[in-house]
Amino acid sequence: MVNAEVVGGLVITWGADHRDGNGTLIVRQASVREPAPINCIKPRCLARYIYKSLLYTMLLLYHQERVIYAEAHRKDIIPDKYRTGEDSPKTIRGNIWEIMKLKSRR
Amino acid sequence: MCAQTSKPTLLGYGELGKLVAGELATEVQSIVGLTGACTAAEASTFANPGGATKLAANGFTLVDADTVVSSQTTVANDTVELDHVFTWSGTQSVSGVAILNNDDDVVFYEVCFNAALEGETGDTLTFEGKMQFKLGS
Repeated sequence: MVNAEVVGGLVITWGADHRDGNGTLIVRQASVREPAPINCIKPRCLARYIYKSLLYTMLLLYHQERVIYAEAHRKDIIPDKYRTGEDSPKTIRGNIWEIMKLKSRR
Repeated sequence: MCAQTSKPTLLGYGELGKLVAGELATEVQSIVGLTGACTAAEASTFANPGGATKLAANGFTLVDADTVVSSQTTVANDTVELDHVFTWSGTQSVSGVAILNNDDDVVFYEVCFNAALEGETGDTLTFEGKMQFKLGS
């Protein structure tokens, strides 16, 4: 008997917009995908996975701070990127910088 | 405060298996808002969704979603897409949503937001959830 195996499963993606009564966007939630599971043991591959995992964690923290900030300033004029989540920082350093900035502005 | 998490539940997998086998089970249909500390977990149940509290007021009560259809992510009809618009009817903090079956007794999956939304009367929350039966990695 031949076993046919595939790697797959249920994948959940989502989006959510919070708007005021006039339809103005207060904040858009961001669905961030986890890094794919590691499937190698070479040092370079491990390092890449660790970097991706750290970047994923920092991105989650950035979006958390962004949403808190946008909710707290729902009636104020703030940069669109904090309401829409686009463009989000692409590097760990960029995320840390934005998180610190958002925390200081609370 | 909560960080963004989303997970299909173990009971949801079981419900899907029974549904495909033609056993007693019902399809994706309902949605309910969650409040409080929220972390999506596979072990979540209707009674205890992600450690959060199911809302029963201010526009986030358990209801049939506006639309539930199949759509394409990778191949035709591989995704169950649910869309719903909540309207706040009072001041309410919302930290996530749970997606349930027609019988309202099994959570297929739950979503915890990046951070809680502090809504006021008249605000809206437009939610789109996709559950893809993904082939391959």
